[in-house]
Amino acid sequence: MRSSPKVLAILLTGILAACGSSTSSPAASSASPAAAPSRPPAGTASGSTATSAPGASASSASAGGLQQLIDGARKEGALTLVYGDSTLGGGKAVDRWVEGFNKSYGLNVKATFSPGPNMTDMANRLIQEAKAGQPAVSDLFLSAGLDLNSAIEGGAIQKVDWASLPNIQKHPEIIQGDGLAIAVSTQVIGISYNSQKLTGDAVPKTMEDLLKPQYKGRLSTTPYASDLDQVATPEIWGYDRTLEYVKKMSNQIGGLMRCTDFEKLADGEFDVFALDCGTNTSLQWQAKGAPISQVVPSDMHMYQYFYYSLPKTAAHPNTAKLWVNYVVSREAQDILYQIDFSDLNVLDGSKSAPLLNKLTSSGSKFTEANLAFFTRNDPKSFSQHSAEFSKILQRK
Amino acid sequence: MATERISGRLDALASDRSHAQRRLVTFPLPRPQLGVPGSLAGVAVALITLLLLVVVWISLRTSLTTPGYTIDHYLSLYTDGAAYRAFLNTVGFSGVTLAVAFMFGLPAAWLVERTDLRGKTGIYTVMTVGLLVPPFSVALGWIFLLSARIGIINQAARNIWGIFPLFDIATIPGMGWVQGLSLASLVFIMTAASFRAMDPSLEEGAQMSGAGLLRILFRVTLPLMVPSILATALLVVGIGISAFDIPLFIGVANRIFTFSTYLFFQVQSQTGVTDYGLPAAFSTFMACLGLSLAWWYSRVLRQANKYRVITGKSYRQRLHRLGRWQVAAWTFLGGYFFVSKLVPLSLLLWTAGLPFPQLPSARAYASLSFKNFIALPWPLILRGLTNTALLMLLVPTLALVLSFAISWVVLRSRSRVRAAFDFAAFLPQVIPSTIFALAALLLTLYLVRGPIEMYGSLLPIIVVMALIQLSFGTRVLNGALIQIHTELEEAARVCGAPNGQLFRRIVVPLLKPALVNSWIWLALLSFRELTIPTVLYAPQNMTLSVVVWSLINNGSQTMASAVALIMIGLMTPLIVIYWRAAGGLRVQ
Repeated sequence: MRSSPKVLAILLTGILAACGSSTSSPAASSASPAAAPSRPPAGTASGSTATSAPGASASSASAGGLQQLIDGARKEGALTLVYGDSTLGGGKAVDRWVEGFNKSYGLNVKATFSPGPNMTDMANRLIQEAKAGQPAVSDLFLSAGLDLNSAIEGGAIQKVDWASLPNIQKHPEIIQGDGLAIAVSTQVIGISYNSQKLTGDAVPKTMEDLLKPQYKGRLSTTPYASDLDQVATPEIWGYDRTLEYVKKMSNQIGGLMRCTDFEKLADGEFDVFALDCGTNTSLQWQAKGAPISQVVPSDMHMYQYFYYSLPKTAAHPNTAKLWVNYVVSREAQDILYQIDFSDLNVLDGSKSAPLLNKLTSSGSKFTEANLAFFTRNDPKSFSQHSAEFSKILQRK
Repeated sequence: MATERISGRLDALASDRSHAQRRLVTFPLPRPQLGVPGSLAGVAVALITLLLLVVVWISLRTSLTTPGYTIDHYLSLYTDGAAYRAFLNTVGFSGVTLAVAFMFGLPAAWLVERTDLRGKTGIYTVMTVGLLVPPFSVALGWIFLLSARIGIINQAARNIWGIFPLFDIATIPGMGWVQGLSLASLVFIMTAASFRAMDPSLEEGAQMSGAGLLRILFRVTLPLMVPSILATALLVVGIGISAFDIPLFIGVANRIFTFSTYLFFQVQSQTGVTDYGLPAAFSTFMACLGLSLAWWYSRVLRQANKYRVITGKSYRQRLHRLGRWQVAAWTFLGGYFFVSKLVPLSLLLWTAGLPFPQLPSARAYASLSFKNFIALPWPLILRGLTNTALLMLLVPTLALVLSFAISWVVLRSRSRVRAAFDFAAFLPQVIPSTIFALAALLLTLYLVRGPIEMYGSLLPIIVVMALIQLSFGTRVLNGALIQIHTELEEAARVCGAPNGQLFRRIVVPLLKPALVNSWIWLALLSFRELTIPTVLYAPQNMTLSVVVWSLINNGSQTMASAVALIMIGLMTPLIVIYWRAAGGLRVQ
């Protein structure tokens, strides 16, 4: 009781700190970027290939637009990014990007990365924030196609004149949904396996191989039937064939694991995991020394993208747009590949392009699961199929 | 005439005296005033009710992003075969959890508080430090030991005896075993305070009548502990129903779903918009279940008089001498500590040094290093640590203040709605935290605006966590308050003491053991809490549990182990100091 005033003082301090935490500026997750000397705005990030902008007037127009963004970013001074730490290199990539970003544009922006909820939850959150008029929890929304579609339909994303930005001008095909998003990395979906347990002919080559008796009980998949909803579209296998496959697969699998549970593959709890969430995951685990490899099944080829899009209530929109321009530069993409083993295949110098080129040159027809893919195939069908397949797979 | 006058006056005096005596006999004792406790309890119940109303609203919405109302979520829940399978699994899982938790926790509490067993501070420390070990590490440890596919013990049993598997941890009994081991600490903390406060006179009376130790234990001690045991059991069952980590890390791999993981994967569909309608519908079902449990518990509370063992008479706590049974006691406690604490801690040490989790082998041993510690995202960790420290300070304090207020209303007032207060306090335990937190998110997003911006701050997390912890706080304080006879308070009131003085000088000192035990437990629960900070997430209010969870989800279980080890290293000395300071408390 004698210490009551002290206890009360501590509690009051804590309460004030708790209330004030929403208004205080977020601490930077990276080291403070060194103050960059003032310099003329760079059309591209340093180290990238020279710009060959179409026409002088367009070039000067984009330079003018870029300068406006740079001035706006200087005033904003900050960038808040919230997404999964296992996507797009997470916090590690942001820490390295912010140095190159500030150097390229003569800025001193503090970029804060925080690991966030999954893309579906983030889409939901951004929609609610847009409806309530609250600032978006992240200045950029990183997502796969279906979640991006949900966010767009929910009114959470704003259109941007991305084509006016110099790095994006060179590759207008990365602009999605008429200015609603920019593709920033490519994911090739496949089958991951334990390379100590499966070697030579034992390695499955096709999805149908996974139904063979030798894989019974050794196979795992996700509880949410990852990517099988996309396989069920008419452009790939179609609903009937996929449903049949899922029913058989349910009898084959030994259990379930999430895309982030690769230790279950590495320690031999499971030998095979299909469908995985991209080549880069197996490459990341290989880099750690884990006996994991990936094979792209010859009877199902699909690749998809991760996108950056701008939430309607983003607190730092100018910085966010400039950031996207930087991320699709060669310098940023090289950093991304070093950390995440992924990059955007359509950009010059892409390190993931050779894999895709090799597969397509062998005659394989790939389905590009981009935003248009999700909008031209009934978006509601993805949720319905996913729910149906999940139920089948979760039943023992 | 004089005789008649004297007789009349005597008659009048006699009449006056009997009238005065009747007045003395019928003079009413001062009633307990609700005052501040009543107001606080009312605020807590109002908040819970408001959140519940939002939960019901969510359950009837088509979705949060499209307009319209529907009962499809209820139809889906009650007609989905998977939901019934999950329900049956949950019943089995909770039952095994309850049995295992009491099998270890209750005897441990009795040994520590009612016998001359040495090393009490150490035992309290080990019991509480166990809470700092992340559940994924506990799960991983048991998978490495008893997974049907890769478990070391199962492989050894196959090689030596040809039995395979000896025991599969990825079953309902296996998962219940793991969960029960960790919840034994909760049973220990909750019942130890009641054991400590018990007046030994009843046991002494039984002993003088020739009863042996076991007879006294089963015929006197444990029956007196019924409210505390019942409150603890209700809480363990509630935690078993909502337990997520063990079912996720062990059960899902074997396609065993409890309600928590069933709902988790309904919500985390990975496609389309998150559907919160189903867990919201489930929450209303759980609210009804909670009502029946709370009603049953309230019937026990009605007979509170039977369990009052702290009276106005002074007593000294009497400890049983174990003698040669010390060896058996330490074997029991040592075995429990080895299995439930040492194994997960060892695994934490092992995985923190590896590039990825793997079974012990020469190759794995050769890859051990400190790289994980060096590569930790320190700015992120420090940010999480600061927020977590604030939570650990503020949440248990707020929860216990509100719990005391509610327990006071339930057990000391004559309000007709006091049972409703108890029910409201218990409810947050059985309703999935996700939905409760989502309700709070929507309120701060749309409704709560003003000079203090709550959206994105730590404040809603503090409030929601404190409300959820009310179920634990009120169970403990109910059990402790029941033991205190009202004559102590009545004596104070007769002397004119206001409520504040009554609480400060009489009630709180008597409740100190329960408050002390509860505070540290709630502080550690606040440290571990993941669901609420995840739903109410914003970069500024990120907690350490969210950082650790993100490391796990990033495939960095090894870095998550490194963080957990650092936290255990930092927290253990604080816990030792806490229990040393608390260990001097005895009921006077």
